[in-house]
Amino acid sequence: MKIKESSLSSFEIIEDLLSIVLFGSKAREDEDDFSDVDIFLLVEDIPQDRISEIIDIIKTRLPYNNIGISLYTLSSYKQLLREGSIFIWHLKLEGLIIYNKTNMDLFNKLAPFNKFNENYLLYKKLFINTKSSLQENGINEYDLSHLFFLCRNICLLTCFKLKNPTFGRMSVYEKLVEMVGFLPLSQENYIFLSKWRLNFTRASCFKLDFPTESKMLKILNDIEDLLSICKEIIENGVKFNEKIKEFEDVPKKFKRKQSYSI
Amino acid sequence: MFLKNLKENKVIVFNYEIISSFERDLFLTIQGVLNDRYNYRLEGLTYFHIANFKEKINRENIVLDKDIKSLLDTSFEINSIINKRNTSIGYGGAKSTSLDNKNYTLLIELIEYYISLYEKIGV
Repeated sequence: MKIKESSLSSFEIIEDLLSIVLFGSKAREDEDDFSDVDIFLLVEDIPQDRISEIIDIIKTRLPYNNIGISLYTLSSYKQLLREGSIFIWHLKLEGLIIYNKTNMDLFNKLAPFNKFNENYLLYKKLFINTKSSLQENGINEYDLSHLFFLCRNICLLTCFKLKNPTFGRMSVYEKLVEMVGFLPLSQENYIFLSKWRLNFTRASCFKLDFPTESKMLKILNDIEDLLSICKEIIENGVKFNEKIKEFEDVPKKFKRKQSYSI
Repeated sequence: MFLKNLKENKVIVFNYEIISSFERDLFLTIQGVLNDRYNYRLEGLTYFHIANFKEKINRENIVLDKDIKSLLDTSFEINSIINKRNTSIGYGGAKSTSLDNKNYTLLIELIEYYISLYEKIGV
C-alpha cells in the first residue's frame, strides 16, 4: 500500500515532526501474516504530551494497521548518530523515508557501529539469565520467547560484523548459515523458538507444546554453541573460515562447563 | 529492588538486562496467579492475551475475582508502558533523574499498586 501524495503534504503541517521512516519487514517487502508495520518518527525536543499527540495524528494518517512506533527526539537521535547505533544503521540500510521535513540528510555523521563486543556480552548475559530462569521457574513462555530474541539478535550482530547486514526475522539466520555453512542451532529449532516469540509478543496462536526436557537441553546447548561461533567471528572477523571448521563437530568439541536441569 | 532503583533513576528502564528481568518477573507472577486460581496459562501480556483470558472466563460463567482482575489489568498497563518506553518515557541522559514525566510517575505508581495487590491476593 502506497502513501498518498495528499497524506505526504499533510505531514508538513504537523508542527515538531521532522521525519517518518518505514523500516522492518514492510520496508523489505517480506512481511508475513505475523508482521507489524515498523515506523520511525523523529521529532523536535518536545514534551511528552506533544509526543503523544503526534503519535495519534500519525497513526490516523498512515494507511497501515498494527503500527509499531519508535520515536526519538532530535537531541537523543543526534546522540545515537554519534554512537553509531545499530538501530540507526538498520534505518539507513533498509528504511524507506516517507517524509522528511527539512530535506536534511537523516544519516549525516552516522558513526560506524563498533559495539560488537559490548552487544555480544549483553546477549551472553541475557542467555545466562534465561538459563537460570528456566532452572528456577521451569520451561515457560517468556523464556522461550526470550531465547528467540537472543538468537535473532546474535545472528543479526554477526551478519553485520561480516559486512552482510540483514535484519529480518528469518533472513538473519539464513544469511549467517549461508556465510558460515553451518550453525549448531537447527533451522527447525530456530523456527520453533520464533513461534514462541510470536505467540508471546503478538498472540499469534500457534498451537505449541512445551519442549521436552531433553529437547530444551539440546536447544540450550546449541544456543551456547551458536554464541561461541558468533563470538569467534566477532573477535576474529573475516578469519572465521578456518576457525569455523573447529565447530563442525560441536557436540564433541565443546566441553560443557555445567549441566542444566530444568 | 527494581522499584527502588527505578525511583532513583528512570534510565534503568533503558537497561535491557534489568528490564528483561523485570518483565520476566511480571509475566511469571501474573501467570502464576491465573494458573493457580483458574488453571489458565496467559502465554503473553498483550491486549489480545488479556482479552482471550477474559473471554474464556465469561464463556464459562466464572466470576473473576476483583483483585485478580485489577492485578491482571495493572500488569498489562505496566507492560504497555515498558514496551513503548521509547515513546512513553523518553530517552534521558545516563545520569538523568528527572521526575517530570507523567508516564514515569505512573509506572512507579502502577508497580507499587501491583505489588500491594499481589501481596493481598497472597498466592
